[in-house]
Amino acid sequence: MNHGIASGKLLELAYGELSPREARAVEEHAAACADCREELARIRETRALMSLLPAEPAPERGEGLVLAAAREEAAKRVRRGRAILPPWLWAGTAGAMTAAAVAVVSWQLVRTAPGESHRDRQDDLLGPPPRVVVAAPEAAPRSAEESAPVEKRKEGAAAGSLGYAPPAPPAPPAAKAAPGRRPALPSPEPAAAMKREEVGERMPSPQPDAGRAGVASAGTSAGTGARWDRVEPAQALAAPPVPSLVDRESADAERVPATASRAPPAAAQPAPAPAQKARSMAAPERKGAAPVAATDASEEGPRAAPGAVESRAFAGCPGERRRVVERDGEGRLLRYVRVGDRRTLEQRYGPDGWLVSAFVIEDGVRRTLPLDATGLVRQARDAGIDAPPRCEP
Amino acid sequence: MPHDESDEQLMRRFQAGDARAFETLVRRHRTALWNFLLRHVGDRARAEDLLQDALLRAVKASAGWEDRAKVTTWLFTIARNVATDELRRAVHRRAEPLDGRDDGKAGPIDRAASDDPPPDAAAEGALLRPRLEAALAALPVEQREVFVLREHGGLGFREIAEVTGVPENTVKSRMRYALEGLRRTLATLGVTPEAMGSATR
Repeated sequence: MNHGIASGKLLELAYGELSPREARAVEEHAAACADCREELARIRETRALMSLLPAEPAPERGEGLVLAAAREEAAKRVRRGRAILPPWLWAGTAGAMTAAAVAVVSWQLVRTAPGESHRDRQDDLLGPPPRVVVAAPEAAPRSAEESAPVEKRKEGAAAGSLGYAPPAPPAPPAAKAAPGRRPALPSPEPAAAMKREEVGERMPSPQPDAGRAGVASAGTSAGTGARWDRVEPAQALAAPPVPSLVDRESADAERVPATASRAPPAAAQPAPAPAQKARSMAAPERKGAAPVAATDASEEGPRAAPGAVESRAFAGCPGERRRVVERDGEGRLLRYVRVGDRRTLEQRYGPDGWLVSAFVIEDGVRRTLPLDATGLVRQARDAGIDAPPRCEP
Repeated sequence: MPHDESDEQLMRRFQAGDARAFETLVRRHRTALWNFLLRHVGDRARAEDLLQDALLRAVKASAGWEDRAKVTTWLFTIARNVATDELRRAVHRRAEPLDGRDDGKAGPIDRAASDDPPPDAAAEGALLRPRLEAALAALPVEQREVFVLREHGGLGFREIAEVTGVPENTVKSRMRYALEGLRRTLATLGVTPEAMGSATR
């Protein structure tokens, strides 16, 4: 190998990117060529020095939001059905999954609320609110191990792990006029569905069925019909699909009452009941199990959850369509995110419960806010899933 | 879930609606993505935001992922774009130049250099790390990007070319410049192979 070629390959030699034969040839040349030998040594020495900067483990913090978004995205795909599924799935190699998907789609047709008719960039960033997608047990061969409920919600004993979606903002006229049910097969808009990443989030989601449409508009007229979902932390996914016992009172008139031991006060909307407020105030002090379920014996025990993400939607609340709250394994508030039509506000708290940073995303631009900016919640104890929404746009 | 399932298989499963497949992908790649972002932007809090941002974007963009694309390069392309945007924004708000000459204040290199030189080879860790970080921070962005993608992201030169959108030869020459630049800066900070002695051998 001549000098020109060999010297051009020293870098690849040092990084192990040459075939054994090429590597041998370059090494042979370098052994006889002082310049090449020296350069090779320099490369290796510098690499060795820089390798003293060790690799670090990735932070867990924030991952809950990512996984919640992934679940939501996956659920959307399943709901939207075949138009999205890649061709390989139809080759019969994944019949079980298809069966489960179809089951979920069918189920969702009965259960699903209207999708949000418009989403802005802020919504894209955080992902839509978590929704429940749990195939009915008899239709889900993978349910025990792989599709353990990723998002669970207590709806009384009977409801168990059922599909659930937060209320959507009022549908556009076109969507309202459209037929209530969306046929599962074939998709009425395959081309549009395939392109939904470009334009998708502005398209109306699957149409509501007639019953839910009525509910949705009722919720809208009722103002802040508040609902929420709870997302299990990632590590908890391995747990068997026990029904989630989320202990939560809600002002939502539609909600199935929780168990008798903590029957919700029939509070008037929209303000959360005092009891809720008190609970949210107490949250940061809580230890051990995931915060929302801390009063639930079944949630305690060996499931050392690193944290939990909760999400809650507010209907008819343009200033805060959705709220995402992330807590660490100790129940301390980490992030408090309010997603409105116009802007998203994220506030973060330190272990001492005080605000440590805040930023706003508006028109796709992210700005850090000074900690003394007006409208910020300075202490974690005043934030939380139960804090009153801010609806003014 | 078999452990040897390829990234691409996982991605297809996620496209078909299996969220756990994405979770597996995240667990597989987040350390490399994190170290790339951390070393490239050089700021822990920002890197943390960027990692989250990149993964959220990956979720959103995953429907458009095609079988031809390797998932690793696809993920790193997203992370790299996120980092590039951030570094551009940072240029506008940067109050502290890398070297202190502009305003008389000490920059990271000045600060790192003002420490006493490491007494011996055992001074890795606490004393050494800021110098290595300062040396990285002193590189031009496009050289640091290549270096960090290779050393901390674990990508090959061809993959780096794909991620950064420049020819592979350009990647290699940037890498050489990066290594030369690091060597020079490290030398001014007292970090040399001789000084490190046993630590590097």
